[in-house]
Amino acid sequence: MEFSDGHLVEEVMGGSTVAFERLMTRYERLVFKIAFSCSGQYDSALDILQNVFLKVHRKLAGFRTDGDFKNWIAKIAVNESINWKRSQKRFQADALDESMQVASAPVQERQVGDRETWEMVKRSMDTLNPANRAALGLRYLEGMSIRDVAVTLDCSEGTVKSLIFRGLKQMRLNMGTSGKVEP
Amino acid sequence: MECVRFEASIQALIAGSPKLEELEELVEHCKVCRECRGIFEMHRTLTDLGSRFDELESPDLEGARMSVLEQLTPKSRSRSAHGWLAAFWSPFTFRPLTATALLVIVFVLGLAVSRVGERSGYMERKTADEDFLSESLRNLGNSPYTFSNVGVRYLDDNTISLSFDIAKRVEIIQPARSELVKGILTRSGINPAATGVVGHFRFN
Repeated sequence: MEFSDGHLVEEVMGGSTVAFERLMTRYERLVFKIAFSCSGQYDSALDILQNVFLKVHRKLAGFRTDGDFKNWIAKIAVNESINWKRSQKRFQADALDESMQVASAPVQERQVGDRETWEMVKRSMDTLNPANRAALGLRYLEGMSIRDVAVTLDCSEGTVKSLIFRGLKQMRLNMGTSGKVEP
Repeated sequence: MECVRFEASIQALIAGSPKLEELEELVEHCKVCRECRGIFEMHRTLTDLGSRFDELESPDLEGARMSVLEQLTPKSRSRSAHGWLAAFWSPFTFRPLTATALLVIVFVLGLAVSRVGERSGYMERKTADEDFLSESLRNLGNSPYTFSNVGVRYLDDNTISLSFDIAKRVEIIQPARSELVKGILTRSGINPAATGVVGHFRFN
């Protein structure tokens, strides 16, 4: 039987660990994708995921059981990921250096399969600002609609489209080609 | 120079709601504009890789989940056999203070057991008392009372608790078919039969 989020939250409030495990199983991929898109690192994303769920457990009393749990937890995940990224600022310079190396590599070398492309995409995403990264992660990794991304990030749909557009633009610049080509 | 002409079309594409004419125009434009083509390709790449995220990263979410639950669950949570074994050895390997406390507890328990041994004489006396009393009460001569299940418990050095079942033998003289006799026999489970034979008894 599939319990609603609200029901599970009530169970957790009553002390049920099993209910919390169900909630975790339901939303851990969402949280991981958000954490990953913001941190760009597998291990860090898992750390953030754990912090997010511990925070969710602590804050559960403040959640309205008739509210949208998915958006609520996504917001916590975004905030936690952004805070984590801020605390890791010292690594930013290294990431920028790496992305510049990627940008300067010959085009042929970049076409070496999905795994390598994915690695380049991750490094490139890592150079974006947190808002761009969060918007891209929610849209492309989680597959959220623009509307849901807007609710999660507390901004308008227009802002979300703009964040994603500028994020894509920046990533393209990081990864190589730019400028117009005449026919 | 930045190309801004098709920004709205690309944003509509990002939102997943481009109009067909806009899309056709954008595709034509991308053939000649490297900047827009780059963004368009980046959108496609992310859409493709994002949909295969689990395959590319295959995160160990179960491990993370267990770690969170462990932090939330009280220490008394049931453990696997391996967990119990590890927990048994861990005080000796990781926590010298706990190991010392365990050794002290074992020593105190040993001391207590030896004290109980010293009191075994008391237990023997108690058993002998019970046997003596059972025998004495059984042989009360002409007493109508019989005693059984005698228990003896010393509450302290000066007080004793005796417990036993007691029954009194009563004889009544009644006509064989009296209501009293019938009632007693019925309640005792021995029903008077039409033949006049009830168990070992015969009515006159």
